[in-house]
Amino acid sequence: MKLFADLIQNLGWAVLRAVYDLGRLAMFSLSVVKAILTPPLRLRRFSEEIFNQGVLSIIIICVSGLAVGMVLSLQGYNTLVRFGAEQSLGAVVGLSLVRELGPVLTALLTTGRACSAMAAEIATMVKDEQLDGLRMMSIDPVHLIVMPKAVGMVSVMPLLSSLFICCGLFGGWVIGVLLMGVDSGTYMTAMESSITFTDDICGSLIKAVVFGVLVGLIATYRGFTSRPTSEGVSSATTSTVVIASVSILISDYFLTALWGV
Amino acid sequence: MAFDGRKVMDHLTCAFERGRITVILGGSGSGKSTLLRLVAGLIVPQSGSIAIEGQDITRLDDADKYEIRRNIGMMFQQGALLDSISVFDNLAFPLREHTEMSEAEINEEVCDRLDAVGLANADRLLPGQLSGGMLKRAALARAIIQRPKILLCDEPFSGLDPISVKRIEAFLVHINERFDMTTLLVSHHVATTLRMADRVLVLTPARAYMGSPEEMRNSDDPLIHNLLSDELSDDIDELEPEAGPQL
Repeated sequence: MKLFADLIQNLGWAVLRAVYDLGRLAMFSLSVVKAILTPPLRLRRFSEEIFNQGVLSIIIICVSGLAVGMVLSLQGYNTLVRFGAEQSLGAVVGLSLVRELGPVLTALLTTGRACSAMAAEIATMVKDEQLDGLRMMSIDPVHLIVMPKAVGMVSVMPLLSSLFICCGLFGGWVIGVLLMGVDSGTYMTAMESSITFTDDICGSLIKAVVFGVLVGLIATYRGFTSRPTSEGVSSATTSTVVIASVSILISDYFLTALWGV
Repeated sequence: MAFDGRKVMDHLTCAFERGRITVILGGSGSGKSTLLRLVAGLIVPQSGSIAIEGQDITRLDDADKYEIRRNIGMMFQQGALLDSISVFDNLAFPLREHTEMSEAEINEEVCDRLDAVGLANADRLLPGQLSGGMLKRAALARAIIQRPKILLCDEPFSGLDPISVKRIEAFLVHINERFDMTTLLVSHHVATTLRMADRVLVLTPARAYMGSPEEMRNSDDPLIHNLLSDELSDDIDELEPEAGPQL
């Protein structure tokens, strides 16, 4: 009986904590929005973040995109050929990458590479009292540190996602056309006719922006609210990767189910 | 004031005189650094008020706190310098943010401060490349770069060699007189701090005592007596402060 009561109590605490954290995240998000609207623009800090989060992720995005496109084409061909529908390979690879795999895998890769580093950097600043040092200089740490990182993430995510898709399409073409012998014209025509700008391309970009907002806010929030200890830094980093990854997958479902994106 | 149910400070009432150096003494965990952070508005007490020039900072929003902090400089125990930029840029940063000074003026001001704390040749170094003592001095230089009316120093002498302690002591006394600065200082160097203090606040688990250094030395209270006698064996007491650097 006591075990059951403890279970209920722990569940209650977990729910309360989740609600509390959501409320704090909402307030934190509002302060980031307020910082965006408050001058100065911090263009230099913003460009540094674009470099750190975007440019330094290019290689991993290109390699992963290429590999995913190649595997997708290989698997797609082996499946389609059973039904005599290998001419649709371009459409399968294109739609899969544009509508789903591009934005989702880019967001997951960026979470692992850039967001974890972002959370760790902010958490270290909390531990070393650097954020308090900024406050004592009358400089809002949300404005100087958090806002450029969050906005940078929202900006680079659609660009990286597009790059991932391009590399994936190329990888798919190499395998489908050069290795499996599908006619290049057929492959490209199937892809062109199946992908629409408004539904697929715009939907893909919207997904990428939503994921950018989510992971940018989660990473900066976890870092900003971390405990000022070494354990706090590692905990912020780990929880950023876990929470952001799960959030990407769950929000992907709702974006697809509710709005057909 | 309590953290996780542990009461650190209860019913503390004290006033710090303008233009004076007040030293806060007390055992570990007595709430010395917490008191500084309360005055700085970095933490908010569960109850009570903290007035700076008549304004209760516990009721201010963040924007108003930032305004009040324009007149407060704080030297943190671990320095709290931004680790990704040089010492020079750490000092120049608040000037670039809050003033219309030209780069040449900023350069002059920063070099003056660094020279005053004996770090003239360390301006291009990153905080991670500084020794503990150099880090403290750089933090002090940054705390006073905007000539604040109130200076809060958390353990400014810890980890410093005797020469650096003397240098910082003389420097703190000098800037206090020169800029009519109200200085609150937390330290375990009792001998040094009693020498430079105008007022002393002793925090004990039972209560707080405020008085002049002389009153504290002559106190019959066993708590104060024990606290001071434990620390007065400090060998720095034997050293006379040298003429301090000038601003």
